Amino acid sequence: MAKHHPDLIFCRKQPGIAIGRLCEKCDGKCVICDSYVRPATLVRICDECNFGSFQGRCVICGSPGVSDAYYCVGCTRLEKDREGCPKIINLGSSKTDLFYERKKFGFKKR
Amino acid sequence: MVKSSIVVPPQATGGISRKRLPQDSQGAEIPAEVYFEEKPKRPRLQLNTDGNQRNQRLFGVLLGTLNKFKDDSENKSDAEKKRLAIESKLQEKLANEKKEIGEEIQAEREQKQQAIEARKRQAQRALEEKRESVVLRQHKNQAHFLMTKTSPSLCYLPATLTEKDIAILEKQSNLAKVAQEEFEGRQQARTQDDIKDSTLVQKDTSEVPSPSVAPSEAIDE
Repeated sequence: MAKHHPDLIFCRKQPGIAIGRLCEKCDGKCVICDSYVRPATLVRICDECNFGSFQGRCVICGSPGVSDAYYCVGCTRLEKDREGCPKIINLGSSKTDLFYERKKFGFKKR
Repeated sequence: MVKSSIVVPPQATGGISRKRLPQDSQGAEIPAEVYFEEKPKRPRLQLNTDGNQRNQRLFGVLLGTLNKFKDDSENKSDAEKKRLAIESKLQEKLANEKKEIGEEIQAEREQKQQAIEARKRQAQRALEEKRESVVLRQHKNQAHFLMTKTSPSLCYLPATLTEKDIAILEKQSNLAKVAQEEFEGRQQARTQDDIKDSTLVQKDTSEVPSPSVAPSEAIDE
């Protein structure tokens, strides 16, 4: 997701033993490059990102997670799996805009 | 007879080479009947409903992504169309500029070539004129003398001239006059050509870019 939305910010803290999860929508994606093919390394996230209600949430969008997150082979080879916790910690402009547009036009969330 | 020093193993000379069959864990060859025997198909993974659903969902997402990419690459957005139009315009402008510059350079080159040729012609004409004038002066001077028929001819003037000698001298002076007139006519034609060529040379020298800062000013600075 962050590959195509450069305003998203990774946590990048020291990962712990907690395993990153992905929701139904993001299932199968590499957390760095959004690739659907060749998952290789299991994602580990930091303790803060797995604390309390954040536990088991999607690393990319924050929805309830259904499967484990993986880095793809390319990202593993580029050592993107060693750059810290890959949890997205902000909303991003697209989601913020969507929120305000919904509010403005009074659309109900599906 | 000399024997070859290369020793060929007996198996290598056997003729028909046979592909080696794979070996089992003890290193013994697996018999062909066993190896080529049809192996049973790998049984399908027994997935529960959740696993099946997930697989279907993943496949759907994958197809969706591929279709999205296909649509994006086929149907260009307005911004992309605009960008393409601007790029094509820029390319066209660049090509036109390039063409104009090329034409200018070509024209300048031709002009320079013309100026060089004009200078050459001027120099040639001046040389010819000089040569002709020298020859003419020589003929004019020699016209007052009689010449021997030897080669090289000698000029002489007897103290008393016969009628024949006077006629020869008159003829020579007439010829010199005619030559002088012809020379003057040619000179006029040359002058006209010179004027034409000098305009070409002036054009070329006037188009040479003058330095923006005069040398004295540059020294002052």
